[in-house]
Amino acid sequence: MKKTFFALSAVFLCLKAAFASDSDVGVTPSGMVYYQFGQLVKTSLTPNQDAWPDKTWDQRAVFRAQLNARVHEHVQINVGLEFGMLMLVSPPVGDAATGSSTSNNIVDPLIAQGVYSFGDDPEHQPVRIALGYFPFKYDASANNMGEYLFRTGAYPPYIINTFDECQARLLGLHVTVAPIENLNFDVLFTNETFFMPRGDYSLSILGGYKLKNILDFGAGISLKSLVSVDRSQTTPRSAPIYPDSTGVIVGDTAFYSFKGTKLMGRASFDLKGFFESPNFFGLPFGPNDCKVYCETAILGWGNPGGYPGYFDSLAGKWPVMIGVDIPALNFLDVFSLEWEYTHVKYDKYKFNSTTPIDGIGSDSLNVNAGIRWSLYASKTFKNGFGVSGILGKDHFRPTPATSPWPGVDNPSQYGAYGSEMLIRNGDWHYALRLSYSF
Amino acid sequence: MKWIFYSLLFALVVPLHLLGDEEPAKKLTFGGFAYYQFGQIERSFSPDGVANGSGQLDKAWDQHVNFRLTFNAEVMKRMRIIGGGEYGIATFVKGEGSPTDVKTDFTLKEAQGIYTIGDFNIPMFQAALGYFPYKYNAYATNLGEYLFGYRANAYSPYIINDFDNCKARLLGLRLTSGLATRSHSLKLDYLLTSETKVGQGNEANKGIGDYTMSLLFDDKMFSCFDVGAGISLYRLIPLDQSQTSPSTGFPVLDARDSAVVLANGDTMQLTTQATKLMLHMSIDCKKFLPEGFASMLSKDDGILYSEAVVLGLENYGAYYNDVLKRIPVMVGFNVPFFKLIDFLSVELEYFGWNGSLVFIPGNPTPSFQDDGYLSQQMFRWSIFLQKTIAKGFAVKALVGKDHFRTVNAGGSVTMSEFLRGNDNWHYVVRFIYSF
Repeated sequence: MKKTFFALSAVFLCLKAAFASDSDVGVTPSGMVYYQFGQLVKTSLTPNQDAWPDKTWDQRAVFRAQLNARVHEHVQINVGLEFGMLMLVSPPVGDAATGSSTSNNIVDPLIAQGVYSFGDDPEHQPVRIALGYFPFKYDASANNMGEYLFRTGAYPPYIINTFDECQARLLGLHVTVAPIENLNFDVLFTNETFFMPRGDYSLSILGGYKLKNILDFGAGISLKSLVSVDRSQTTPRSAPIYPDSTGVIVGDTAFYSFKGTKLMGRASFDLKGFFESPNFFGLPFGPNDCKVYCETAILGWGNPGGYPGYFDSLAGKWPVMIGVDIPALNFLDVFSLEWEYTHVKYDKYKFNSTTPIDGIGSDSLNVNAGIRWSLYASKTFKNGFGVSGILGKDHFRPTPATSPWPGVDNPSQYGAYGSEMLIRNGDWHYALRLSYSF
Repeated sequence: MKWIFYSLLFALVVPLHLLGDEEPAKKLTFGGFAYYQFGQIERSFSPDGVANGSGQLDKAWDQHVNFRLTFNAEVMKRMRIIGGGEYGIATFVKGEGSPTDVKTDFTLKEAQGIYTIGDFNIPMFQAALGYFPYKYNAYATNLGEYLFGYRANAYSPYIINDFDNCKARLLGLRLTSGLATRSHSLKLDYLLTSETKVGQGNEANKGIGDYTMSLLFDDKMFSCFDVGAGISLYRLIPLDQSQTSPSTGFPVLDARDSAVVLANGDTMQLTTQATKLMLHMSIDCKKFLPEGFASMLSKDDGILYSEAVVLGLENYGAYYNDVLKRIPVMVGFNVPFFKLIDFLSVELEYFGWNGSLVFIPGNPTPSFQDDGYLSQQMFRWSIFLQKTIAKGFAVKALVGKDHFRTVNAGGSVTMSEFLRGNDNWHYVVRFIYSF
């Protein structure tokens, strides 16, 4: 609610500035409205494992409004809100005679930031400082998976995917430095608003370089919970470290912590860049066609003692994603197939717990649990109408009653277990979104 | 059936791609309102029966403060996007030592994209997708608008009235086609809508998402007559059959000996699916008055209007054996006030349903327990007044015995009606500023 109030206040300040007499403020509105439906077709979990049953129907209607106000030559204020209605309909489970349904209204801030840009050339601003609440995406090629640096945990190493929202939403300070063309660095000092431990500050540094039109690569490091506002929340004294996998505690008892270091590396190849013309072979390739991209991350690196027991190896903490933009020849804007692998050790994490909850070394999982895939397509027409869709087996999670983003806004109340629902072969879901944008 | 729905959606996508606009015409306007509202239930029904003099909610005080903001963006010459939400604080004081109920809530009120060919208000063709308000009976101010599940249900029957909200809010697709001639203004609406939550609590979520297909027709003739009709195939496409048409627990009973009715050897079960039929008409009596006299009246004065809806065409066994008892009929008249106020409408309703009107989502079995109110609750009345005091500022008031149910700030209703006896009534007053 505080974020919502702040965003609403910023909206009205923006309006006031925009309509004030003798004002030089330029306000550009934008927004969209969408209707989305989807279905969890098959899941391996049972509902008593905090999962939705098979064939659960997910439907929503959402309106987004954003105002971008250039209040000064170097200053811009961006504010936006999202209103929506969510509905879930699940069929009966087990011997139950009837299924269940839930419906909720949501309001969430989209963006509430002020931006100061240095430099007179709007096409190349060497330094840019932003403060507030903002979306952040470092891998332009990723369409569903990837973006691991901010959409994951370290301890435990959960991963989150959200349909048509392959980015993070961060609160804090963001400094972008672009000393030369095609080279940029991002430094972020962010405050955790969604996941535990909420309130802690993390420091992240990313760099990226584009080599002509062929290669785009980057790397980053994130020091999660570098500054703890409540050490008892950052390192709860409820999950001691087990020195070995049999659960025997040897020596002094230490405790798992949410604090951790995440590393990320990514690369994207645009095969069109090898040809003089992007329309090689006489085919009308779109700007997103013929790309191959990948991203990997280590979720929790170099902790003292190696966190024996649950996290004593890279197993489960090292996802690798590979994606291909299949040529759609402008029939679609994006048509991508993404595949991810991580050696799964556990399939269930609590967002508010530093340890997994299905026991040490679960033998019930097979290698297929670590394989994820998704097929994503989108098309925006010139009149603002857009269609996007996905089907796949990704890190799909329950959407809480109060937010359209999985596991957020109230992770301790709903989706506290944060169970992945698509684990084994044959598990999959789909979603389709119809939207109007302006 | 779901694949038919998907096909219809994709059939909409392709033409919209082809009908791209050449001229962008970006224009964004804001609108909304803020209001303070208070009301009181002067006399309500008694849960111990009509013979008991004490009403359950006598003198209960209901207060609301709400704020709504709406964005209206003309993206292209033919494309418009409208969105808005409402935030409110509701206070309900039951009295007699009961704790005061205070709720704050935010609700989405509108989120739609509209594509229009022709005039926006009388389009040759118009397509809307999203969440939108819909009203087919232009003059109904409180009673009426029975066709959609937002306001009335078939099995088991209930009707909902909400002060100054005599419309439905629908989620889905609307296709409109219109034709205007010298003497007629014709409009045809096709709607494919998904049922949204009506009511409070988890039980009110039963059956949400089910798709309803509706077709409505309206003809305004000679600037004084308006006739409309419609059919609604309520919950035609269920998302979860067990919630829409349960396989157990709601048997159809035979009218004669209360034995269950069998269909192919299995007990036939009641269903919440239904076919609804609607007819409405209005006549502007000013057209028959001398011109000099008619000019002294405001544009809404002297309108006589009516509406009738069949809440469920099908009969089922003992409970639903007479379709005439499932037809609410409303008649209204805007009393002339010679421009002293905007309008004052008096509405009467007769609904011959001889069972309880308790709203229990997902339960098609009615109750016929007679607490003495079943005959008295068949008649309803309301008097609605509106007066614009200054630009943007108006007062609205209502007094009557309608299908009032307490609502929270977000507009979710309780399951029970409180105004059922002959002497039951309530009033509401709203001060509203619109911009």
